[in-house]
Amino acid sequence: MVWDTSLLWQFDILILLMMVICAVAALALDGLISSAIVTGVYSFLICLMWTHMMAVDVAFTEAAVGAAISTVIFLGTAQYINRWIKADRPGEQGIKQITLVIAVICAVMMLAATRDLPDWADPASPASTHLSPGFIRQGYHETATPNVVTAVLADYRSYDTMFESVVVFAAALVVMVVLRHTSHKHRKVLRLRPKREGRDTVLRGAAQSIIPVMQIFALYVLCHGHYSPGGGFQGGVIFGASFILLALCYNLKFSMNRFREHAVLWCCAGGVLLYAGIGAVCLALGWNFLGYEALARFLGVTEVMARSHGILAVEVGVGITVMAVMVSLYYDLASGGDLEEGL
Amino acid sequence: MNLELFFIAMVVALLFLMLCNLYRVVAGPTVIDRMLGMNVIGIKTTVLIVLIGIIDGRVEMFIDITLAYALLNFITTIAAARFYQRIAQPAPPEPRESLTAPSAGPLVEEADAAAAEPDSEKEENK
Repeated sequence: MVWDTSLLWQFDILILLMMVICAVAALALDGLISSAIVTGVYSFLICLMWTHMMAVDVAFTEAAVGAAISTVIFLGTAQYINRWIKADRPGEQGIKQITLVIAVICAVMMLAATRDLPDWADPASPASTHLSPGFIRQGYHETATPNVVTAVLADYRSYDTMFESVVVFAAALVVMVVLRHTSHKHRKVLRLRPKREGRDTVLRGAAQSIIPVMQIFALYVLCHGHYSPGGGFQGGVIFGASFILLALCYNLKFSMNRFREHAVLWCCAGGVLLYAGIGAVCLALGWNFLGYEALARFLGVTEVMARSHGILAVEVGVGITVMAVMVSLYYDLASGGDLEEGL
Repeated sequence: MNLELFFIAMVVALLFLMLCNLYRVVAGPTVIDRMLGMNVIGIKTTVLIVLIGIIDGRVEMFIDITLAYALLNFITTIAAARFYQRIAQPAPPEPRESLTAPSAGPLVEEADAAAAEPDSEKEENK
């Protein structure tokens, strides 16, 4: 397919216009929930933009995180937050005006710099003349993975991905430490939270029928990442979302009986450990850290196929970590750290 | 070519409809309006992604994203509904230690107090 930048220019203009409206509205609206909802709309729009730019893997991640996780976590957190506006003290007005001037100057400079940026998919741009041709030409022959994004993510740049999953793991740890070991003096107290009334027949029936589909789809996304957009991050987020849905449709206790906190923590650490362990095994066999060719002898396949299998194993590790971290973040943030009752 | 033009026209029309929903999201007087607007925008996004896939001729790459949206899009709505369900419910009364079973009848002190109250009021009136 020949890329035609004139295709759908109306699309770009409309999407960008709506994104600017959303960005301004998210700041201008009062009410945390309204801002969270406008941010959710922004997530839809940016996903459309990335789809249009053919950045399909990125768009998939945004779809999974934006639709399922981020707004739910905002809502869960908003239960415990008081919001107030501090009145201006004398002299602060001037500082605000100076800030505005600085912001405008920076914006003008950045807009002026955009003229030097290459066009979308410009074949002469530095990004598509140095590394990309090598990955595109050799990626399939070296790793037997048709989706070049997966090959780059989990093979050529596997160190980056490993530490990304470490960062995700650290996020869950930090939320846990902060929420469980600080006094609740400053947060809105929801003592004696009312129990839910009613039987929620429709919600529970829908959850029962959709959660298995969701989990199978998550496993498909995880395992099919070699051939189509998707992979560990996206599959993990969708799998975690199924537990969040369970907690929303029943209650937090019900979900925690299915996926206990102990198991969540083991999965958080286990995924990262699996990733690093594969790297260490490769190192012990005399290859580079995360040099998957080392696994060829164990698996009884060629070195190219060993790299393909190594990518899959690493993606499973990422998926387990991301899934457990999403569930852990929901458990902690939606219950304010005491794990009694969520949203 | 004509069919492609048709799809492009459809995309642009859907985007204009999305702009109408965006007005409801930004201006909506209540949060419920905003939630509904966001839901409709999500559904339109699902359709638009398929349309972009058709125009680019690689629809099989985009189907997974739309499936993810179709499966996950309503979780936010349920969460918001739960949030308001919780905020709107009145807090239950504080449990009192001295409460007895309903079958036990009034406590002796309470009965005495009830009997004594009218007298005390009369005394005050005097």
